[in-house]
Amino acid sequence: MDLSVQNLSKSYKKNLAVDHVSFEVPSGKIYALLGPSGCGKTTILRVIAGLIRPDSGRIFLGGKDITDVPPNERPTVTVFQDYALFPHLNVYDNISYGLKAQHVKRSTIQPRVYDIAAMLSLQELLARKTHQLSGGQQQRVALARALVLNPKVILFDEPLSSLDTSLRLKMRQEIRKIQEQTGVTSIYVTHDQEEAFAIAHQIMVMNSQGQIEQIGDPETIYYHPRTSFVANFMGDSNLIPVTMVENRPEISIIRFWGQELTIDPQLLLREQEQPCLFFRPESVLPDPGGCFSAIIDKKIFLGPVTRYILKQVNGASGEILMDLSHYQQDYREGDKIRFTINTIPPIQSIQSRDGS
Amino acid sequence: MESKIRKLKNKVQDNLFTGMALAVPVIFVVFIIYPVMKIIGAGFFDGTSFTLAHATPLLEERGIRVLLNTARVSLLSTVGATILGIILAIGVVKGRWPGRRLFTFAAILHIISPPFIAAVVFIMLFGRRGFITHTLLGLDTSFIGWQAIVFLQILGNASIAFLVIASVLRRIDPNLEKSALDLGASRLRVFFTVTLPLMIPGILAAVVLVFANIIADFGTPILVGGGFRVLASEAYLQVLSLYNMPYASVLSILLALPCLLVLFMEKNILSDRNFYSTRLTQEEDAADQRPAFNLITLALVYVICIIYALLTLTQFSVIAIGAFTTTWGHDFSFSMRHIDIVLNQGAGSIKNSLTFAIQVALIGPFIGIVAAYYVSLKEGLYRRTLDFVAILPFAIPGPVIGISYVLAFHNPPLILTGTGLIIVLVCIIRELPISYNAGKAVFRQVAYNLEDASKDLGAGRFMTFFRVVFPLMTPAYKVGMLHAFIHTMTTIGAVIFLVTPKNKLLTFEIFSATNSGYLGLGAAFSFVLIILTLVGILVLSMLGEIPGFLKRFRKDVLVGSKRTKPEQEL
Repeated sequence: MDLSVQNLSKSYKKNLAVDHVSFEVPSGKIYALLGPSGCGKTTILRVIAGLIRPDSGRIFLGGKDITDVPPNERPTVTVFQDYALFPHLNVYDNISYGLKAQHVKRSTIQPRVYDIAAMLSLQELLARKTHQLSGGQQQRVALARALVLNPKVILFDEPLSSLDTSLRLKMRQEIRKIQEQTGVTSIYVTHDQEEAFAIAHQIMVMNSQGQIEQIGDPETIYYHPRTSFVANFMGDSNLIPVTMVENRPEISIIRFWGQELTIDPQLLLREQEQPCLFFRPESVLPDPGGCFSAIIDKKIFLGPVTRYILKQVNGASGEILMDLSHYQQDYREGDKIRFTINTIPPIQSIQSRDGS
Repeated sequence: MESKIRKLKNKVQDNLFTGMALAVPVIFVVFIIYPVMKIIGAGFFDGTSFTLAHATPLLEERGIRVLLNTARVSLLSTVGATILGIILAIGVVKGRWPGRRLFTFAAILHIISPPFIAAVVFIMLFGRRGFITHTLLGLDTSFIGWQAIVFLQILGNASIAFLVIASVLRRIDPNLEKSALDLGASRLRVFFTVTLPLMIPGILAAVVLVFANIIADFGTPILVGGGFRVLASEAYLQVLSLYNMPYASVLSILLALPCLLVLFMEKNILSDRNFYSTRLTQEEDAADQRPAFNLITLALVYVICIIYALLTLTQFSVIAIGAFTTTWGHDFSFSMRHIDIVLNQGAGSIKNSLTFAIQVALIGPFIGIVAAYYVSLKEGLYRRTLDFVAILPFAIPGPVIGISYVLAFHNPPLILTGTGLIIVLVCIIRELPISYNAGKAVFRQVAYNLEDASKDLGAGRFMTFFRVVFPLMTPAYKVGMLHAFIHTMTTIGAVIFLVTPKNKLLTFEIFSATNSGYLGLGAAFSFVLIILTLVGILVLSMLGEIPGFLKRFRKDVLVGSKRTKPEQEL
């Protein structure tokens, strides 16, 4: 069922945690709320769960206003950051807790718990106390406890943040898989952009002031950030100030790195007075026929890729980051190279266009 | 149809819960605020107009002397007991000598015996017919006087300070000390720059408890002070001998003021200084990794610990021997006659003490926990007010609360004096802050999040409280239960004005026997009381789990004594 948040605001003692936020979560998708810690994403989640009352704004679920529905009557369930498993109950009782709360018939509780336990490979653990479980197991119990209720919406509150890296990678695959199996609408709060990419269909990026920076699918957010905040939050980026030569709605002509280029205006970020051209380090490709030339100023080995910091040949200021796989090409500091920048839609050099 | 019934059921349960919760402010108003208002009214009001007339005796020579005496005794004793407590805590937590665990039990033995028992022993040893003064030295004098009060207060209260400080000391992360050493600080420097500052919350908490305990104690000054009067004993005399309630009320308020002051000073300092983990469950024994002190310091600390342990041992031996001696001071032959008297004529008192203690132990913590939950649901000024009222009994000395109950419930609309109920009530209220604070701590640490989870999973308030909050509160309940039982068994200050011939208590019997010079009988009553209290807490501890109950008991009492009030009042 799709969920709609409209004009939501919440402040704590004059600190605005969520600032007039509106968004739509499409039915059956995972929707990530991504932002630095303290940006209000958890607050939004708790408002949706009904655990916090918003200062203003409404929440609609399947078109019905649920803003004033108490948390225990909402068809939403939260998977808490530290799981919030009941330490005095065993795994079975934790999972069945919500069913009992909803007075589901005793005879149907057991099969439902068993089904969900099987789905999450928890069958062997049902009699255990929660403190006897590993982090990953606790995570699965928390998930089972939520899923067994067949909620309309599951709210994930940084559910993987207390797991170690390898387990985190595994669990996020599992969460995505289970979400696809069940088709339950999910909202997933995280501060880890990689996690958001891996798990979400849609991402909403928030800044520390509790405002929305951008909403979009992972690729758009990554390759077409609309603000420098998003550009930098999503990973390392090249944000190079350019000189505007001509500015038309559908096409811009700019001077950049000693070249005049025609580009799609949406590649430019215009937050400051001087617009910036944005592209990712991996968009930079060595190309003997490329229209830009540079000197390798620094070389930094990062593992999967090697990062090169490029300087202009004529010594003009500015630098470009270029990430290359070790097998692609291996340069040394001081090498002179030519390169192109891949963007969608592509950048075109005016000279090369004239030449063709 | 079914869902309609379910909705109705939920509604009924929610209303039931709301009713239960609403009882909290009602209890607060009727049994805390109302008596306090009454005592203020009696002391400073004539009808409806404010007056200082009742306070004038204070300005006379006798009144001023009482104030100065109180200040001298309470300050000296508090400082002494706290320092001794710090030394004992360091000796036990940081030391490696054998038997230091037993030492903790010795300290607990202090806690479970009535407050003036040291005074009883002192009279038996150093009084006019004392074993040492009379029997051994052949003297006809006694060592009573204000020095005796200070000495006994330090001895008795050092164990409280010790338990509180030791539990904080144990929880200090040993890595902090290690890294200070690693950074090149000398051991002495580590102690003064790391360990001691981290102990400060514990030390302050100990000061509050010890101070409140000492200033409220009228038994010790009456028994060993000779003519030396302090506020508490003066208030006692004003009520029981002269029935001058207005003046007694003034004295009571004066008694309560410094306690309130110390409590809120401690609270405010503590709020900035919460460096140590407050988890109830986490109490690691850092025995293996502590940086030791130099040899001389350690030797000194151990000697003090050993002397203290010996004194404790002496105290209880004298009680045990005295209970089975024909006539203390004249005929030291074995005799059961005192015990016989206790078991026959004192049977009523034994029964009363036990019944009241069990009632308080079972009901009190429940009210405290419900109150903690109720208050945590509220916000803003109302919440702060409730919180203040809930811990108010903590700062009101026992005799003061006793006097306020006499004033409040002797006349309509609510006449309770003379009943057993009022004794149970006064003890429940006295114990309220312990289970309230313990409940609040648990709630803040774990239950808060889990409560949200429960609501989120669709449980109503009733189910949330009884299936999640309350089970999580069991440690708090246990702490409250043990303390409530111990305190009700050993209390005297709060109940002495409420006791009637029909519902006499063991502590009352000890006090009146000793005060009338029947030392053997006093010892016998004390002996029986200590044994019953010990058995009682063992049984209560076993209610939860049979195996490991000793460990659990130790932990509950120790952990519980951190911020709560593990002492006996009087």
